[in-house]
Amino acid sequence: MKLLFKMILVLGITAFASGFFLSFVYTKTLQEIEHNRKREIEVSIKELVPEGKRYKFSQLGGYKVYRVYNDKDEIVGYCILASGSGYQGEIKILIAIAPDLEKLLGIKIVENVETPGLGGKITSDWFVEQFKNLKFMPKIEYVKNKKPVKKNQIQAITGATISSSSVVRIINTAIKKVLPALENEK
Amino acid sequence: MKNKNLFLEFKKGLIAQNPVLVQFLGMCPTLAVTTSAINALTMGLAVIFVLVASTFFVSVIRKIVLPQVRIAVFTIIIATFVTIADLFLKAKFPQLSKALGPYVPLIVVNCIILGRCEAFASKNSIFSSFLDALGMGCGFTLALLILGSIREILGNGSLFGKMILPEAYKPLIVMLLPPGAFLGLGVMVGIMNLIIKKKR
Repeated sequence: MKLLFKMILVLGITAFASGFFLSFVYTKTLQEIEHNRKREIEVSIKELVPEGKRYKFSQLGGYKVYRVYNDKDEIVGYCILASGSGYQGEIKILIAIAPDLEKLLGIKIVENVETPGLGGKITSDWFVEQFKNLKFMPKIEYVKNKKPVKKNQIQAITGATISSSSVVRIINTAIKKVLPALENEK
Repeated sequence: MKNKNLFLEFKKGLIAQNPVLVQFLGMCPTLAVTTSAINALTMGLAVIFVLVASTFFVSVIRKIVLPQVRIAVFTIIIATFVTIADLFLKAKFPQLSKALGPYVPLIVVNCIILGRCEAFASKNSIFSSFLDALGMGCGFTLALLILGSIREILGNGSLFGKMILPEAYKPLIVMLLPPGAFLGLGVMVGIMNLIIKKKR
């Protein structure tokens, strides 16, 4: 009986000390972690919509949407944070749409765990560049092993069709959900 | 004489009892995060921090803690420091933290740490536990860093993100994929065995 009580005491004290210590560290780092998360989005938005000066966040159709304004308070673009499954796991993409709601300003792959050297190339410049000024009506399409001919086509990465098509699919789904709401606003 | 013994506590972790290449502990992070030198180094440093901090505490409380609950107490201590390391990386080095993904929280179950706590720190003085942990941690980091460098150079032509091989070099992508980890580790273990054999 005495041993049992001692065991509880030792474990309890250790757990309590650990919890106390951790809550201290957690509150110390929380702000910085939040700040990093926010800054990452901010930097990406700035990259995609360079003339943007500030942005306003809202939820639309289940997506995070950032309206980007220039210094004259005119809308210069919309950014949608979309995610979906790729070849190995989740791909998170920031999609920038032009204010005319007809073409993309560009995309940025925020997170991915695709195969390095193959699917991982979805973050490479030449692949991402293809989405600049790409028309997304009626929807974005991808072609394999040849140059795209239409204005809504991109070329898939050789050997990584699933990753490429996942990116296209994630963008198409997000736009389909968010676009009606944005059009209503206009 | 006594100083020499203490130095041995540190040195044994580097080669003779290297946790990765001789004891084969902590294989999961070794294989998983060594896709680049910087990932390997970060992982190694995080393990050194957790290992040194938790063996220190284990050694301090080794006389108070009851043998029946020691493993649970060690695990709580280890988990505390792992969480601290994880939060620290997230706050200060978000990019690295992202690249390492779940492998930082998984240091909790890295058997090197519980192994050193149980086998060494719970029986030895604070200072020699500290040296032992530092040696084991450095041995782990060294092994990871070498493997990470090999994989990054062969698989991407770069080292610490800087291109070092000429443009004409065609990267061996397999080195960045899981098989590359096994190949690299196998070769390293082979070389290690040769070295140890020669020493005898």
